[in-house]
Amino acid sequence: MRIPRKRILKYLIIFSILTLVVAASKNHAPLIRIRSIELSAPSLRSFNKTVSAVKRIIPFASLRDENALLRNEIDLLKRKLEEAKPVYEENRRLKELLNYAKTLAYTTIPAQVIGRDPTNWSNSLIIDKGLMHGIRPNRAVLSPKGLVGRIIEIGKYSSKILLITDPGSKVGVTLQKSGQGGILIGRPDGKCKMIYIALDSEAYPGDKVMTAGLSSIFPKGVLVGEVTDVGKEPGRLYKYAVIKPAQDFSRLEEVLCIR
Amino acid sequence: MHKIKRPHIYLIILVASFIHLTVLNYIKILGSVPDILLLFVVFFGLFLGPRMGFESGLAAGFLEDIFSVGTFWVNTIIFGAMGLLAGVTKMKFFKESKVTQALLVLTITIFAMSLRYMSASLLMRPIKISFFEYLFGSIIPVSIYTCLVSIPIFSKFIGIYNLTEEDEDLL
Repeated sequence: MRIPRKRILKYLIIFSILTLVVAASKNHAPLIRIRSIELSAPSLRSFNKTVSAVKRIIPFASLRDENALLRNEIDLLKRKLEEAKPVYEENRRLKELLNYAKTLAYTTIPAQVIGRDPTNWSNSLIIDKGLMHGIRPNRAVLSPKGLVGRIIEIGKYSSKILLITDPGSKVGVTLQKSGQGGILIGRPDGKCKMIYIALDSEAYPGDKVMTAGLSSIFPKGVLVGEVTDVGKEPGRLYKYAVIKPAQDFSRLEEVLCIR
Repeated sequence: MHKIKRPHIYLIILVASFIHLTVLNYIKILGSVPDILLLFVVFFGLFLGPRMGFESGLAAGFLEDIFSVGTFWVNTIIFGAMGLLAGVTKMKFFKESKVTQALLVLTITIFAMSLRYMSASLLMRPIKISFFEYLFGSIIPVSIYTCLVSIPIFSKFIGIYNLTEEDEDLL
């Protein structure tokens, strides 16, 4: 097949023009290229971003299972940590109790609180130690923070403690600062009241209250609590002080019973 | 017709006393915990009549006497009387009303705690806490707390045992 001459001529003219244009734009080529790149740069950037995002997403699909596995592991570890907290707390309390027991001049028996008074009148605790463990009635019960009460009822394997906050409890106490003595009685609301404080004596909120050691039950110098309020009842010849026990009995879990 | 059976009542009383002995102290507010045993005695008296109120009251009071200190039988008698009282009021008031229930719990708790103070004053060595001190420090907070706690507990148990209809001492 023969190509018509006219067409060959046309092609030649186009090539010649192109050659001329190329020859003429030899110096301008980089500029043209740069401009073209600059013009297309935003689109290129967007496209590149999209590609990168897709590249990042693709492995996610394969990581989903691993992620779920790791999440399960985290949940398991969190649960274990939560479960270990009470053990840690118990360990801390027992260490504290043991250290406190070592500082005491008398032999003590550690006991676990297993029950609390169900009435809103009396305040008592039930412990898991009794006659068989060496517990005896009318012996003081202590905690690392202070005085708890005394053994009131005793069984073979359990005992009842009359807390210092029971209205029937009476403990001889003194104010640490002034040395002023008085009787500590319990109140059903979980606080105590120190009565028979001489009118001319000094008693202020914040004063520490210690056992006086006047009876055969409570040893001398055990911290009982802190004065929160001082007042005088009308018609009485003495002052009274409201005492906040050093130990929060609602949270008490272990005690030391003096043998 | 309600579905509540006598063993259920004793079981509820027993579980309530165990809760009282062990975990209730953790929800102490202003040194007070709700008297859930008394609350159930009022509940049984109010919905099952004076006989069951009295019976459940004796059981609950007996358990309190066992686990607390102080003169024995005092709580048994007081709780029995409160159950009976709640049972008697069943016939006098509209017991389905939540307001009536809450007010009855409040009144009976105040009454029971006042009786406990009086009995302690008579039977124990002279107590050094005045009644007003006990009233403001213990009776009022405990009564309000018990009254508030009674609202959801009563609704729950009324639902469980279908206690909305008249059931006159069926047990």
